[in-house]
Amino acid sequence: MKFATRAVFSLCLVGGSICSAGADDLRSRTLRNAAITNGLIPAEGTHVSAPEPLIQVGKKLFESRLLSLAEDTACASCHLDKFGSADGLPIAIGTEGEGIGAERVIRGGDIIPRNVLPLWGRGSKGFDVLFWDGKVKQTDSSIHSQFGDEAPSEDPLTVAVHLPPVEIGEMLIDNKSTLELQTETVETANSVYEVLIERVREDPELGVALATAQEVSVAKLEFSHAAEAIAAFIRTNFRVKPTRLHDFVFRDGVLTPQAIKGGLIFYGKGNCVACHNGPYFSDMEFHAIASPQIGFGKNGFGVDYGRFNVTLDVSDRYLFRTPPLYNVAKTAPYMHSGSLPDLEDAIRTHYDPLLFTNPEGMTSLERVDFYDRLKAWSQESISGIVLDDDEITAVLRFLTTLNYESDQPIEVVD
Amino acid sequence: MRLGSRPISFFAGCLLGLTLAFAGQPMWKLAIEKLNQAEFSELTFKCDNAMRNHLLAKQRLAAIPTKANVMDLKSAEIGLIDCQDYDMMRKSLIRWGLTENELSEMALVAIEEKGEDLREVVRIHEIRY
Repeated sequence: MKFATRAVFSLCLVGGSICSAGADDLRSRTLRNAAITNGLIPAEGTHVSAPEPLIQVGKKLFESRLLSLAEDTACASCHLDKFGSADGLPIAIGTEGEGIGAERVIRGGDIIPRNVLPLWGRGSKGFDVLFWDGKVKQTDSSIHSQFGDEAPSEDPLTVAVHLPPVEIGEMLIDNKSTLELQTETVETANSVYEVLIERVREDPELGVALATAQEVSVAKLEFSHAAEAIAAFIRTNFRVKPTRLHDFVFRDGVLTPQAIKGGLIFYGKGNCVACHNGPYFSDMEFHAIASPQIGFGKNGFGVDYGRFNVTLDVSDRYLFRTPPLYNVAKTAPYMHSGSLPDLEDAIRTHYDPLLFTNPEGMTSLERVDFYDRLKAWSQESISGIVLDDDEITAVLRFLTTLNYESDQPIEVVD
Repeated sequence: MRLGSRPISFFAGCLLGLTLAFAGQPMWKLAIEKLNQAEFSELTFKCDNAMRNHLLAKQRLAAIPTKANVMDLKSAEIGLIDCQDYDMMRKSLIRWGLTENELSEMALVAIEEKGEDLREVVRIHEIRY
């Protein structure tokens, strides 16, 4: 009897493993092929190298408040390891902010109307569209930015690093003492840069280190030298590193059945890949998701026209650059206005915007704005797709396979 | 030896067993149907949805041949894996004793669960030219 039981049990085990192995192979193969077909490459293939001394001084500058006019804000004030290189807030608190995360809201400060973007992959190969609205964008022949034809660098990331120190409320304090610098022209930006780099020249540690790394005398240092150093640090410290998905795709690694299911939904029926493709899971293009809008909005009264603010093309209203997905599970809250604290809800809003909308509580303007966002969303590939809760959880599990850690810890300066 | 000495008891036992098996078969099938209806309904809907999305993606590509529409069709093809799950469950239920007719009945129940009104029923049963 014991022998018979054991025999039946063994047969079941062998039979079951044969059946499940067959099914898993089809799914694993399909997922691997889909990932490669849609642009995933080994992490090393995205890297851009930079000289080590420049990276090290770039880290110090990244963590220094000297680069904000009132010396109250550093890049590291809003790009923290704890929040996956973002700030953990729906919309950012810039100048006059103190502390990290929710402390900045409680203590007050200037509000920036958009969610802080994390830095993963920025400045790596092909990552040349920056910010939610793509206000820095490399084209075949030039870099489009607020600097017009006076771009301070041919590197999009270095141009992007120039912007926060002259953005009112972000690192340029919004008070009477800075009124004459608030014209948002290239001339006033240059005068702010001159003040900031003079501080670096006078700093006994930073000045010499930057001059040495850039191979110029301290007296010859310009703001663009500091920006290049910060860019070198960002592109190195936050570069893409091998993830569990890379391991699965390129080294025959193993993913959980739930992550594989999520991956097949991501590349399959969910069609997330229509926009989240390429080496960074972003097509670097602009799309409309009718997610809830919170806060004052870039265009005021709870309206944010997104890409339109850069191009002034009416058809670009409500479009935002597809956010890359590395470490996305660490960078809550989500969407351009940070309106969704939960990643599963962020996925849901892509397919079912009404789920997060209560028309009764909305003003007439908010309703009209929502209709327009819905119209823009209705043109997207994902409009009309149905996913249930289990499938959304599976996509979440898949996205966690894109987690990794940066090379160096960022010092908390606030 | 003992059975041979009581042939009547043996045949009576066999007869009783056969009668019970015959009478219990519908009960067994009903139990299998009830236990699996929810999952089967879900898979029926998902496969139907995946097939419709695939058809729409093919038609869209035929009408507007763009790279984006090619990508959409490839995604819809991967989406058909839902039908693989549906087919595997059908085979599994057949192995447990259900017939094609009983599986059709389960599919009809699934459609009735998902259908908001008679239109879904009409879609299945209307005569098309």
